[in-house]
Amino acid sequence: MLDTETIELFLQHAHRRIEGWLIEFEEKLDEGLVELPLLESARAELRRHMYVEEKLVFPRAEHKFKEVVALLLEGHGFIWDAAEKLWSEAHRQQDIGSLKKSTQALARLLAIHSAEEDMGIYPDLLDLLGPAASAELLRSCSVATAPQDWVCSARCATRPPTI
Amino acid sequence: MNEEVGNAPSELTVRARIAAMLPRKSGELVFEAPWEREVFGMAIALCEKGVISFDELRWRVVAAISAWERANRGQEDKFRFYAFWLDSLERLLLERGVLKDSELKVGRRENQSD
Repeated sequence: MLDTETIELFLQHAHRRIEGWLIEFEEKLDEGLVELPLLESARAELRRHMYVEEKLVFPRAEHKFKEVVALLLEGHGFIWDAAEKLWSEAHRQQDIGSLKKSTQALARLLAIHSAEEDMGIYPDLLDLLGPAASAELLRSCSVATAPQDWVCSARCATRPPTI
Repeated sequence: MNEEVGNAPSELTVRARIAAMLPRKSGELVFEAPWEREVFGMAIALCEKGVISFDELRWRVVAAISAWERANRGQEDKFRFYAFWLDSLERLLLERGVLKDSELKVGRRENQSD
């Protein structure tokens, strides 16, 4: 976490990192390579980012942005599905064409979702929470990690039980 | 709109805050067509001159994207980020009386013939 970072920038930067890894992954696909570490980085950051939002950010913003938060949580579910589909296809060494299609589908969902968050709720966090609480939220977010078995709220009800 | 954000701890400029919100590729802002860059530039200029508020514009853009997302869920239609900027900007300028409907139509015709 940089000293100059705000909660708004912290969350936006996570989006840019995820997008960056996906772009690189797709560029490698164009070269005929399936670079799993790039996808793993994107997936890990995406999970952590969703976790941070669902556990720390959204609960603090929900009272003002109830409908927006509901829509964003729903969006997490679709992104979750697309990311898991891509992850599973990449591990099964699916053909490059299919992987590219799945990468683009995920990137499209992320672009829409990121635009909604980056331009919508994030810039209002500072005003909504005040300087002290937003700085505290930034500290909490920057050290938070998603538990191994964490599933986003839109998908946890449909998840098969762990044996 | 002031260049500095009064209470932001990092004293980020408005331009810096806006820049952090936008899609990028290899660190550069992504404009897929010249008109996207023009719409973006125009919006920022209008906000900085105080003609419209950026907060109002950004929430308009978000609402337009969200409505489109709900209507197009499961589809593969291309997501044109700056099309939402253009639409929101036009509506806002019409509502503010900065732009007349007739002027907008002329502008659209001229752009189509370019």
